[in-house]
Amino acid sequence: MSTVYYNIGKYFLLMVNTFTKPEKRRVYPKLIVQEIDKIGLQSLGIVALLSLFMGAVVTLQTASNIDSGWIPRWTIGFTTRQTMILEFSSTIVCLILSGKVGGNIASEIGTMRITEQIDAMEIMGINSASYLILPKIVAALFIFPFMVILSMFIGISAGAFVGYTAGVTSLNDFEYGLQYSFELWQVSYSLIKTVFFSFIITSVSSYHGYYTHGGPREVGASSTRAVVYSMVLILIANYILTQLLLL
Amino acid sequence: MIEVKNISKSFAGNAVLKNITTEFYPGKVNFIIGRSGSGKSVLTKCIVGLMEVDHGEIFFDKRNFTILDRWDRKDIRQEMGMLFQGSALFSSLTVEENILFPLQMFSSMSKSEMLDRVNTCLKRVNLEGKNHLYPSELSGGMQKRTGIARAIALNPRYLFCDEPNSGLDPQTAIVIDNLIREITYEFNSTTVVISHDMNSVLETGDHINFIYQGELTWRGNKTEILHTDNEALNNFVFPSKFMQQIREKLKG
Repeated sequence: MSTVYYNIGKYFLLMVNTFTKPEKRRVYPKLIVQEIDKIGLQSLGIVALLSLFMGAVVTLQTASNIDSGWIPRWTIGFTTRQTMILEFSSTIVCLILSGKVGGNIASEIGTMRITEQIDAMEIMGINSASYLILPKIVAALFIFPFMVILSMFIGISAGAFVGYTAGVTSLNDFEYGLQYSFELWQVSYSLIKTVFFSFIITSVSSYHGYYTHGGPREVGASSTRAVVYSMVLILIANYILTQLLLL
Repeated sequence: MIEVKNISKSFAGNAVLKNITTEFYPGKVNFIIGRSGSGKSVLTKCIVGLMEVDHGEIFFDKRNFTILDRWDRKDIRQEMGMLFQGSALFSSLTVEENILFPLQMFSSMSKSEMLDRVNTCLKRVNLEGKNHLYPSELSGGMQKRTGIARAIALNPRYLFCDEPNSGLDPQTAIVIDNLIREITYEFNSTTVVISHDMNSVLETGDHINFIYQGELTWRGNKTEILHTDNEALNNFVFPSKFMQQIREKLKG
């Protein structure tokens, strides 16, 4: 148990270092833009692909489960919307990004640690935590919500297209379902969750990378730990935020 | 000058450095030598502040480094340059960007002045024209020279070199040794070199510190090392019959 407290304390100390006294502020915008490209734009493909197929599958599964004539066909559009907005586009996409982005961050920083690049920064007098981690966190907080909105759009569009082409719903029914009892707050709820998740992914992965010791095998282990811890924390945060924001 | 006073450091109860006191002089190549695991890397990490000492003090030109927090150490750290064993070049940056890095972070030069400085440093280490290569495109010796160029970019008062010759062929090792020596004399920097390479030690060691099992057991220069009766040092520097014969010849 003391190891858990030790790691929590170490994580918070790293975050304090990350958010205090950034080096020469004018170098940060460039770093943030680079990180937006690296952890955001380069993940667009996988997010789009997942959302496309997930929206399509949710539509078909909902249609296949409606075997009562009493349940209207617009339920398909309604269910697809709710699934994509409330859970898939925020939670599931972030879980997947924790694998791609989190693993990437942990291995990048971990490699810098074992090859003494972080020591080189420290000896120059640079706050390495701030220089390496802060741009990643800021970039993720900025770009992930856009990716989640894109995921919602692609998933719902794919659902409408597949529902129509498979003949399980008409576009009018699907559209009616999309608009039925829609509350904008649900999108806000999803985006709030995304902001928390993006912080978890970048900070937890950075933590595991930053404190890597040893060689390439330990970098791999750090990367795995980063993904596992990020995923578990996202699931816990998802439950807590849902309880706080929706009920 | 760097003064180390009564430094001790332990890991999990295991004493790695035992009450070490020594000085490193400006304008001289100061060596720390010793067997693997003797504590020389830990001593260097303590001096540059990558590790905290358990007891003792470190002074950089009378400024007590040990009592400063990380923010106040910044001023002294900006006067340090370090060449790492594995060069520690930023792999995602080109040679030019690597050398620009400390300049961008700490100097108030204009971009053209910074580029001039980069080219001067590259010229100094005979790497002109290699500006746009990445570290992975360089040989081991070129990586070390780029590391030296980055270390001297801000004209450091204190230069640390962690096993600068490891992994290099003897001829390239001599080039690196000469470069370190020339830079030390040129900038009058306090240079501290950790090395296993006895050729370097005997060739360029102005001041040598021998650490044995965490204790500083001998200090002297490259001439005095030939006449020492310190058994551990003799076994370390002249381990083979061949080396002992060389010592006798050198003494003669």
